[in-house]
Amino acid sequence: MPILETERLLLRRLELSDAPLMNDYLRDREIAANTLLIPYPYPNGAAEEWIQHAHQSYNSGDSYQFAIVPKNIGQMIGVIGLGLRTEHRRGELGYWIGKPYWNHGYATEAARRVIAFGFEVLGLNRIHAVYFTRNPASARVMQKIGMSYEGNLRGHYFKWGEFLDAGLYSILREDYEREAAHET
Amino acid sequence: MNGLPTLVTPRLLLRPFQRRDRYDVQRILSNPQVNATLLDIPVPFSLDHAELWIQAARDGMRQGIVFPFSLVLKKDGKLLGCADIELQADHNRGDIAYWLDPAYWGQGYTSEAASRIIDWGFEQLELHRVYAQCLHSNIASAKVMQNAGLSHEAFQRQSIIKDGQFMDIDIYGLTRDMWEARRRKNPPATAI
Repeated sequence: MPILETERLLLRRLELSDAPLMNDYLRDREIAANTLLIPYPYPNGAAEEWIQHAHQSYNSGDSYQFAIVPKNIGQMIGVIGLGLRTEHRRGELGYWIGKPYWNHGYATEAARRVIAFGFEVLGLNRIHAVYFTRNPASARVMQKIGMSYEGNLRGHYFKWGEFLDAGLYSILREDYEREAAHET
Repeated sequence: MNGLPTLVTPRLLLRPFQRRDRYDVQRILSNPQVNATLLDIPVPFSLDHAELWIQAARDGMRQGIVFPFSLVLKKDGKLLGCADIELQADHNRGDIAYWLDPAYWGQGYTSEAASRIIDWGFEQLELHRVYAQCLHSNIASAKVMQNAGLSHEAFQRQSIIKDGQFMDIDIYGLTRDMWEARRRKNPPATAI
């Protein structure tokens, strides 16, 4: 699995040694509340299991999950991943950042890099992302990385006794290339 | 649920598929006009494919995962197509889909069937939401969704590859609240 680099970040393979930190961050109810599949309270052993699952899913070509590591901190502060549907040349972007590191633009910086990787190295044609509309901060990341709004699925997800609306954003290869041409 | 459900509309009987339907299923699903609107239907679509398809439809219904109803014309017993609802139990929602013999397009049969299975999904499966996806180019399918009360929710650009081409997808949805409001406005005809 490649290591991706940005100005402030390294995106690298998750290791079992990341599990204790992952456990700490995911003990936060707000992160679980804003993601589809993270349980709350976060059970012991779940981080190890999830990291092993991420490795399997990489080996089978189904997804890339990266630990987000700021160079000046030297340890993981969150996760960003790309789930793949290669038969349709598309990927789904997902991410979370540990609460102490919110509002530093880390998710945006990591997402930009992963999108470039998806288009340039994996040859994807489309990358989309889904967010609960009650969490507009996640949508701002999607906007900043050049994604466009595609719609809102009403009550699409059931989480903790509530039906939640899901907003959709996506970026196509052609959008990405146009943007890249602009910057050079 | 005891046995497999059968539903009734003014012109149609919606009943589980049976093995003897395989000739009709093979004929309709191998029609290029029908295939053009669907994903994952092999070309060519043989009688063996049809048998397997019917077997899967019956298994899915028995297990309560997906409910594919055949659309049978009451007046002459002809099989016109299929309308199905897939239960996505984790989120208490149903995904609907349908196909129809092109000889019967444009007469409202699919809308009639889709409305009935949607009502059935809200009533019997106690769904919170029903949704459907169609190719953006498939205007007839979008119209069926609108006729059945679904409204447009999302437009996904180049979301799938079909026959080597990127295709746009539309998603339509109907929540339980919307369905109930619609019902209050247009109460169902006397139950049959």
